[in-house]
Formats: sequence, structure tokens, C-alpha cells
Amino acid sequence: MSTIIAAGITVEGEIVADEDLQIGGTVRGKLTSKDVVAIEAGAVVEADVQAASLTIGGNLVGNSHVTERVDLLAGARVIGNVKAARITIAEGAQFKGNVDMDV
Amino acid sequence: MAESYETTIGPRTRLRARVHGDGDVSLEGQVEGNIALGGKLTVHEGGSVKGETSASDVVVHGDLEGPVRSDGTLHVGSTGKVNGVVKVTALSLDDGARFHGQVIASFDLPAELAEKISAPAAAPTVGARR
Repeated sequence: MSTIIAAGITVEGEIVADEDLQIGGTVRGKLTSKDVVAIEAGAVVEADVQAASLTIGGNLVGNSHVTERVDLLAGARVIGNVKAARITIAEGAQFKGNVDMDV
Repeated sequence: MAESYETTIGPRTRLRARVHGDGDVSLEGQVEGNIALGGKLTVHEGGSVKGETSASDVVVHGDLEGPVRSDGTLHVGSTGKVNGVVKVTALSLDDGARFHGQVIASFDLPAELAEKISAPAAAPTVGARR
């Protein structure tokens, strides 16, 4: 099972998930998952993110703290600091912030 | 995975947030906060809402606590539990459903009934008081 926030839906507040989180809509606040968080193309996330793994194809404004890996896909726009053990930034991704791989 | 999908709050997800927008929401987890949807809200068994809810239609098989507003139907299934003031066009309860609260239903009555309902307050019928 997983949680999906589809395009057209806005969540303002705190999300705590013990499962995968797929975001196509808008999330403002705080986002915590013990599994994979996927921010899809077109999604807008203004939140601090804590996750095991984070994939970004959309927009993220906020700091992320990830235990495993962060993947910025082509088309991603990220403003904020990223702390993760592994990180990839695809060609075509935009990123502004600090990277901390020292976990 | 990326076909057209609806918003789903999984069973192991908790939201302390305001949820709004167009489209349907299927809830198996917990939401603490207000929900305002252009589409339908379905609260599955095990799912719960604490807050004000407004949606085009509301179906409850889990727990819902708080006022509900809908221009459509509130349906409470046999495992559903609703606690709150409910202002909807139509309400249906399955056998086993639990409901506690007030129902403010808005629907049109046939003209002759509508007159009877609105008249008594102004002109009490004979013998009504003693």
C-alpha cells in the first residue's frame, strides 16, 4: 500500500507515513516517510522532507534529510539543503542549496 | 504506476493537515484536520477523519468525527461511524452503521407538505397545548 497525493489536491500540514508516498499535487508543511518519497513532475512541495529515499521530478522547496539516496531527475527544481548518503543529479535538473553526504 | 490515479491516504499514513482541492480522496489512514473537496471522499474501514468535512459525496466505512457538509449524499456503511452535525442533501445508513449527531437535510417537499411544516409555528393547531 502507499499514499498518493494526486494533482489537484493540496495538503497543508504534516504528513507522517510508514509507507511509500507519491506526490503529484501540492504539499506544504512537513513530510515524513519511512519509505520512498516520490515527487513527480508537476508536483509542488514546500516542505521539509524526511525519508528513506527521495526521487524528485517536480518542484521542492525545503530541506531534505534522507537516509539512503536522493535522485534529482531531469526537470526537477530543488531549492534547499540535501542531506543523504547518496545523491544523483540528472542533467536538466535545477538545484540550489547545500549537499551534505556526510551521514 | 503513473496512470490517472486518485488521491489515496494509505493505512499507515497520518495527516495533521488541511486537505483541499478538486478530485476524489480515498482514505485508509488517519486525517486530523479539515477536508474540503470538489470530489468524493471515501473513508474506508480503518480510516478516520477528525475535522470538518465537505465534499461532493461522502462515503464512510471507517470513523468520521466532525461536521459534514455535502451537496450530495452521505452514506454510512455497516462498519461506519459518524459523529457530528451533518448538513447534506441525502443521508443513508446501512444496517450496523453508527450515527450520533444532528441531521440538517435540505430537500424540497411537495407544496402541500411544505405549507404544513412552515405554518404550525405561527398558528398552533387546536388542542396542541392543553
